[in-house]
Amino acid sequence: MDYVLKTDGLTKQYGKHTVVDHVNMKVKKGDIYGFIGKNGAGKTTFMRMVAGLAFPVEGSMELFGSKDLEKQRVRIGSLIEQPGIYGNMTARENMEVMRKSLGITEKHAVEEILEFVKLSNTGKKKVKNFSMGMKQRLGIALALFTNPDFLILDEPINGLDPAGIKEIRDLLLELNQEKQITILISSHILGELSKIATRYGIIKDGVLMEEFEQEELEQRCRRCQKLIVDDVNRASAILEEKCHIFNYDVPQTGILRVFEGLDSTWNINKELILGGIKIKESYLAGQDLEGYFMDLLGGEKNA
Amino acid sequence: MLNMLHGEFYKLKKSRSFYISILIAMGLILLLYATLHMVDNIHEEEQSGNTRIVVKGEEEVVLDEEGNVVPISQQVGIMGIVQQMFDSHFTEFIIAIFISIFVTAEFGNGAIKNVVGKGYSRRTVFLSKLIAAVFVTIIMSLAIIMIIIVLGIPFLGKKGLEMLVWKDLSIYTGIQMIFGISFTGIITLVGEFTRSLAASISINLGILMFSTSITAGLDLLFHNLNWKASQYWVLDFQSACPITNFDQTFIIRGIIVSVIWFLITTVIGVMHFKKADVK
Repeated sequence: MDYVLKTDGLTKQYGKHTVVDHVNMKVKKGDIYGFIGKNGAGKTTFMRMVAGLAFPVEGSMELFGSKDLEKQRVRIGSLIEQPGIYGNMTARENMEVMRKSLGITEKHAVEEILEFVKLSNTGKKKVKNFSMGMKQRLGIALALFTNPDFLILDEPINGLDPAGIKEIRDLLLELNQEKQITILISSHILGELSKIATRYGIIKDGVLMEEFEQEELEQRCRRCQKLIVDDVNRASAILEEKCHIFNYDVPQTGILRVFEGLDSTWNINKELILGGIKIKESYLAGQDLEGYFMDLLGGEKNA
Repeated sequence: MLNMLHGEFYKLKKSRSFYISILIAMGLILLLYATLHMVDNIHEEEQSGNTRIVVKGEEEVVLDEEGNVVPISQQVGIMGIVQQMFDSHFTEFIIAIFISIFVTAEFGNGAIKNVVGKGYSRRTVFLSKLIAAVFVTIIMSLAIIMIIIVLGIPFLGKKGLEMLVWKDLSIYTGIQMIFGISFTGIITLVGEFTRSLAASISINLGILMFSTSITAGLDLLFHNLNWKASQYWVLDFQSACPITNFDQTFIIRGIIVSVIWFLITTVIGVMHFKKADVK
């Protein structure tokens, strides 16, 4: 398996306060890794350590399978917290500063990237007069210099209007699908994140609670009829023979989750009762992604 | 490193604050010349008896070879104005504010993370910022001297230029630049430590305004021990630097003190930035 990022017990402390606590994260090549956590959970600090802006007190990491981080960071583009831009310059001038600082000789690179992030027609407009979305896109443009293989984005859609969010979402999907850039992205807008992420990591109080794939998340959030019965085996047989339902599973002893025929649950209940099954509970379950994440993070709204 | 400097110089070219700083310096110099010119006018009117202004006290009158009174503006001359701009740290004030805006602000506003995050070593990043600041010091010092000379022509006339001792002016400029570069190391270090534009400007201006008073106090305090703090402080050398009749001991000592201060601040800055988290 090709990993772009692998951390081993990465820890950061400020004084006695542990902000990131022994995080073992694996980001596979091609992933759009959605990094989720409440305010102060440690997302930004973790990303800053990966980008080389902060130093861990413990633990190690590998970038592109190498421990020579300084060398590998050339392959990373990052936009962490606010984009580092000069307000009194135009977008093109900001890009020129970066091009010269990175020693990129191809002058057309500036135009190409600006075109890609749809900022090529901003002319002499100073960056301080840009909208939030434009600033974010310029931040992404700066991160895209040197054609990174791995993009680290911290809350890139924060404060954007719906149109701005869609623009950034489309841009990230394009980068991932067309340029094969692996992306580590954190966001508070979980619904949006779930539209692009292929893998998730949940961080709480500095601890990486869980990592899972998009498919697994969909499975967990899938709408179903949940049945708590006295005999799962007999109930399963009735479902198949009488109701012709085969799409179900048994997540725990005594519990059945039925994923089809959800508009006629009364029929399932009827057949099971007629078959002599004692139904202790029967209800429709499943939630949206936002609700699921909220449950995981402890039920508060500020994920 | 060269790439980084390339980027810094591009920023400098595009920096509006650079041109504003030069304009402020120009305004200050103009004010100095105008004040001298005004004083001369008052004296002239006083001598011709056409003034209502009463000047108390005796003033030493300097006469030329033909017995004419030499105007104060000519007594001070271009060299005097140059000395005034450096001795009183006017030049350093302007440089400190501009460097704080140009270099220091980047430590705080996030722009520095663009290059740190691209794998440049921390040492390279800090040194490139320091070199850019040194470059700014040299350019601004030279620009200020040029402005003094150019503005001196309409105020002092041809005589002003004739009185200029180019050799002394060049030596003085060189020495002051060494002191200035040394202080630039301190400005950059303060900026790296504070990571805040306001704090950096306040601390640097505070150092410029009060440090020589503190060293003077320390000189008095330790006079019995025959130890002078002012002999180890670069701004004291800047204030005490003569513009003619250079004392070799003073120059050598000044250069050594400047180099030591510059090296110390550079090493501390690199060491601190190597371990510091970037915003």
